Amino acid sequence: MIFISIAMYCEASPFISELHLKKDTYNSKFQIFEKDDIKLIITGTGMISSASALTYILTKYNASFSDIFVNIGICGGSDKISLPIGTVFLCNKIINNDNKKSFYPDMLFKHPFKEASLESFSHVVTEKDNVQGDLVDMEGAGVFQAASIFLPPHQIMCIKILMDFLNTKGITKEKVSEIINPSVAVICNYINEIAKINLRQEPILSEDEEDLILKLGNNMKLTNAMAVELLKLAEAYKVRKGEIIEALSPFLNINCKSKYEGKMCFGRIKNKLMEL
Amino acid sequence: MKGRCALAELKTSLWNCNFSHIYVEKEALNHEITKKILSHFKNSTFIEINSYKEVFSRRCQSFSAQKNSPKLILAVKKENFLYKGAEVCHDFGNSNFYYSSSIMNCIYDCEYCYLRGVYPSSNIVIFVNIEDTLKNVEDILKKHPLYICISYDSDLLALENITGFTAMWIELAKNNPNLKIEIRTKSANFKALGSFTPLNNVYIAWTLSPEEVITRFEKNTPSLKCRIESIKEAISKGWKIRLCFDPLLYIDSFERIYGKFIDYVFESIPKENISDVSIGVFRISKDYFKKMQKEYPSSLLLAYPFECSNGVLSYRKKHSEDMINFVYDKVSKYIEKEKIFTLEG
Ligand code: SF4
Repeated sequence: MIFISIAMYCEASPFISELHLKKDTYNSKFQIFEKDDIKLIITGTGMISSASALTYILTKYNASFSDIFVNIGICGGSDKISLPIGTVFLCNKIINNDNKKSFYPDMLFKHPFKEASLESFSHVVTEKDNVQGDLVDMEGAGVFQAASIFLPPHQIMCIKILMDFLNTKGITKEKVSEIINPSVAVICNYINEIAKINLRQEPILSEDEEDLILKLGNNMKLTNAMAVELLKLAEAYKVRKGEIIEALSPFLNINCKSKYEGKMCFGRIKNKLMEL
Repeated sequence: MKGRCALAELKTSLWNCNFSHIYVEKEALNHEITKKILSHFKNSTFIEINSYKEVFSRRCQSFSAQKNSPKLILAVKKENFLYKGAEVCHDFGNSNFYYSSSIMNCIYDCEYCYLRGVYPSSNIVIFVNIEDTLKNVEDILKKHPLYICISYDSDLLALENITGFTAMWIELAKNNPNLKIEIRTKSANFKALGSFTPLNNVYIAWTLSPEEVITRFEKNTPSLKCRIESIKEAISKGWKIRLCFDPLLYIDSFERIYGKFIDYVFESIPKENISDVSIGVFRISKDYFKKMQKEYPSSLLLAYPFECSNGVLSYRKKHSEDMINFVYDKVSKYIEKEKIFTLEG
């Protein structure tokens, strides 16, 4: 699954069009747009709103370690940045201005963007603010911290498009879309490429095999700890021998009447599964 | 071959190169060693951090994914300059056995490496203030002698060209005869020490494995042939050499593979120049093993039905004994028995 969070609809609309996303009309808490395995949520501005929205969507869709999350949005540039408006950045450090905590996405993959640090503020940043980061926004640190609870740091990305140099005068919704538009295709392509990388370790046991082993554990009246041990032994056996069902076939019709009998059977299965 | 090329291409097109990003603690920024290390990586992106733990100890990291593009973290060590040597490690009859950890993690990627179970990340942390560790050692030496393994949580010699740490340890050993150090390595980088005069209290300890094991289980490490070449060079300069056949791995055709390997080693190296030999089977703390297996569930090496004794997992007693005895018998054809140290699981 690819989760995308964007603060405002005017920032999101070019991505919604490019990715052909459709609105999930059943959702009243947040605006969610989706297609197949892409979910895009409009979080609202600010670290708390964006972190809440992100937690909502990652929980709703039961995010797993193999999913990726991308925060996209506009940002301001500090005086350390001398690149043109519209430049796209992948953030390598994200600072929460409120508590000065820093977060670091894992920069494992190549990408076509510039890199910079981002500092997230709880207020609109002006030239008067003391800015540590290269870029500023109002969401990055909030979503990153929330996403880190669910996903590994190499699957969390924060992509920012340079909108202004700490002077937000004259920025309209139309202007936002106009500045984002030229970069939409390259950002979407990148996300699609990253999503194709499957670093997930395939489970050793198939679902059917796991179900069968759990059933076997039930039939033997195993305790939870013993059932976990049985699964572990079965996994290791399959890694060594390449199969597990045949090894367990003599035991599949077991139906123990007591825990004691179960323990005896478990001993026999253990011996079988520890064969080299 | 085509498949291999495609994989190699994928690797170069997908992942950032090793050390593409270097994280530097604020406190380490102006350290001479930091400057020296950074001078080797002019194209890397430098990121300032407050503490190495902000990067190294993040939650949910993938040790295995990071191995494809490890980063460097430069930090200042504040405490724990020396650790008491673990019981699962050889002390070679030395008392006051310690090890130091000035680098955490390794550029190699051995499937049996316990670091996979120890650290939350495979990024490499270099503590640049090595002088504080050396000072701490000097202070202790005033009270009693020390035997220190300086290359346990990493392969120091493999990183010597960028850190120069091994050289600094050798300098310390030169000025302190009551300090004995062991530099354990799988590298073929003896040339980095080529300009030093050999010392009686410095052992260069090469871990050797059959080529079949290297190819299969010791990813990114130099071939057996390259390691042997490096050993020969060190011997020709007069260094004390220790050979470590450790860990022995339970593999198919163990006797054929290890038998041929031991013969090859001692036919290639002048045996009279070997100070001692250590032999041990794969063994690991139960807690580290759990983490390793979670991270690498399909590892055949870890799928052995290990036995646990006092919190340490190893092969079944019979297997351990057979493996050790076989290698011991082979080695003792070349080396005096008093020079052979064994450690079962
Ligand atoms: S060389 Fe040693 S420290 Fe490095 S990966 Fe291999 S076992 Fe681990």
